[in-house]
Amino acid sequence: MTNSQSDAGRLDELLGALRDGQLDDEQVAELESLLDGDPQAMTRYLNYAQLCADLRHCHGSASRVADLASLAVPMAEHVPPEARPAPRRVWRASAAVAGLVALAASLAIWLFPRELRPTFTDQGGLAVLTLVADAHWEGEQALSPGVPLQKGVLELRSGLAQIEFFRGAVVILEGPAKFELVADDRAILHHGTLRSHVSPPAQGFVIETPRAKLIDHGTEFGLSVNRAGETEVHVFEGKVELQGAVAHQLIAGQGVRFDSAGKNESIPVRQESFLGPAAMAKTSDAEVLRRRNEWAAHAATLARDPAAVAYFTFEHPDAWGRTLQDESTHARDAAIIGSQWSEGRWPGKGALEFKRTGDRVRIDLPDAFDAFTLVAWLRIDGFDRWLSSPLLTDTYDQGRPHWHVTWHGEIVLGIGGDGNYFSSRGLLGVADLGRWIQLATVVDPATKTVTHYLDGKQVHQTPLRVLQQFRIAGPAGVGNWSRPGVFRDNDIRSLNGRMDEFGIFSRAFTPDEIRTMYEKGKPTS
Amino acid sequence: MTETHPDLPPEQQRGADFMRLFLEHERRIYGLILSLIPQWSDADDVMQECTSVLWRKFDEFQPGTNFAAWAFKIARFQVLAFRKRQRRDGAQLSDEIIEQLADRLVASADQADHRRDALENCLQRLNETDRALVQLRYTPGADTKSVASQVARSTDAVYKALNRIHGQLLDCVQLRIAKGGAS
Repeated sequence: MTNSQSDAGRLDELLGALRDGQLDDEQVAELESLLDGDPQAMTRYLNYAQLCADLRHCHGSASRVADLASLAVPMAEHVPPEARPAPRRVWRASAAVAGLVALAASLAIWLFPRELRPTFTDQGGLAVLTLVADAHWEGEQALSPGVPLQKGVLELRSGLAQIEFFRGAVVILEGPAKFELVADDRAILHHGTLRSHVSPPAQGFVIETPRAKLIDHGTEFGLSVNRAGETEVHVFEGKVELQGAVAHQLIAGQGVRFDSAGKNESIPVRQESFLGPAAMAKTSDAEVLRRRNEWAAHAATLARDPAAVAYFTFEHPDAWGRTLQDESTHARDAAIIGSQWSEGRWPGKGALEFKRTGDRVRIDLPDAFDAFTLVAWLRIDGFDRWLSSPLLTDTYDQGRPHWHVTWHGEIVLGIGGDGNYFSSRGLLGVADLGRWIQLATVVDPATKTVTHYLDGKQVHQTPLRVLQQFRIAGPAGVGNWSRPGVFRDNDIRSLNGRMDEFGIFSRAFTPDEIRTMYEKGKPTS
Repeated sequence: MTETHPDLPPEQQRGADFMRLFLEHERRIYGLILSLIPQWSDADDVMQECTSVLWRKFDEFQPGTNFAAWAFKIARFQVLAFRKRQRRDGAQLSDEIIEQLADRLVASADQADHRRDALENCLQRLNETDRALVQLRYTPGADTKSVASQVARSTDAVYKALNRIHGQLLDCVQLRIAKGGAS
């Protein structure tokens, strides 16, 4: 086994040299011995050569141009236009080549040291949302901790949110509030209440209100603006420079109030009116408890679903910590190999961490079914390789599902045999690293569709062409591939991250069910 | 297999038929030649010779029979003739292996359409840099060294990257063909 695996690696090396016309006599002999009597090696060799031929061909290789030129003369007058081949999908015209050369040259300088990883773009941002407590955002805004915040307006309907500006200022915002991020050291409080803490490197942090402008010189202060524009500033520590109708400097223990006409008066400082870290933690704990209970109740109903083939909540490790309890009625417990227990979506919630390439969970399910739903809560910590795989059957035979996330952020379901390869476009990026996401894929023979969901929302749907029975039968790996043998490059599909819920159901969940699962399971409201 | 154009003079009909058949099977013929003569420049010469032989002998081809099988027979003959001419210089795979490879190739099902779709799809899946590298490498006249100088990296780094990309493409294409084409 080991021999033939290393042979396969060696074969690929030789094919690389062959491609470049660099095989010496000894290597030719070696290649010959690898091919001789090994149908698999021969197939790989032929497929490789065919790939090179196809690539040369679709890039308008010299030979093809020459061939057609030599044919064109004797044939030109013989071939009526309608008999000429349909325009072929030649990959790029030569004008585009020049552009690509420049592109490659500029990108390569960056990327080669990292072995040509995908070109991730980080949206950057001005700040990061670090903590929320019972936070409800206005409209479509769905912000969870860890999300980088861009320039723009945040509308917090209720609850608390902690925002850390990249320059170093920290703000606890209390809803209802309308807060606008302008730069990494500048914001506008249109209305609402906040408490701000500014460490020395962040001095000079500016918050504007409709009536005043505050320049912070290393302090802790509270600020509130009502909808009429009346503004109160309370300085608890350090000093704040106030630029309004009149310039002011406020020091610890001083407060000032501006009325809607811009007139100001001194007021006593009230610490208790501005919620700080302690209140944040308390509210946050209460919310965590509420969310966990809500999730647990929903998880219990999922476990009782007659279609639950296997359902893991990662909540009840045994004494050895090496068994993952299946909560479904089948109680088909899985084996944990390598993976260590860690924290899930909430403090105290169990999860398994997948870090090393050996880490995995083994399941063995006898079922075959016509429809299925896969759903997982994951925290991806890195797109290390082409495929990171929440679920892989050992073999890729007829009807066996392979469920991946690619390093381009695509969600993919592959079905072995004459199934298909269902891939979304790239949906996940660096901004999604380290945050808990819900992935779901539904295969529905009734509607003949395969649908991918991300965080409860449908993100991709394609027709299911081949109707068949799907099987996870035989051993499969969760968070990794468990087929025997030496793994190279694309075969290494271990997940870098954590998983704290995973279910396989033998029916197609409706979009509503997926959304409910997300709503009940999302880490924060 | 061939459509007829009853309104065309016979000579034009013949040219049209050949063009259609040839283009349909060209990549596979080239694949066969490249499998058996892996030096690209040599393979190109043989492909060119082979193409003109196919055209010259097209009269002998029975319309309605298998063009690929006929073309492969000729391509194999051209390859063997070339190998005989080249025998004196450089190491080559033995005739036995070449025969085995050719047999396997001829016996395998042609999935040109699936393969082309799969390859296009797989190329799109590469990141921009990888795709650009492939593009540069397969530009007529390019080699790994010339690509390396264009992207200002060492030949070895480009060579390794190309190995990796080829492996990735090969796996991706095979995966897709196995599943009956692109999604």
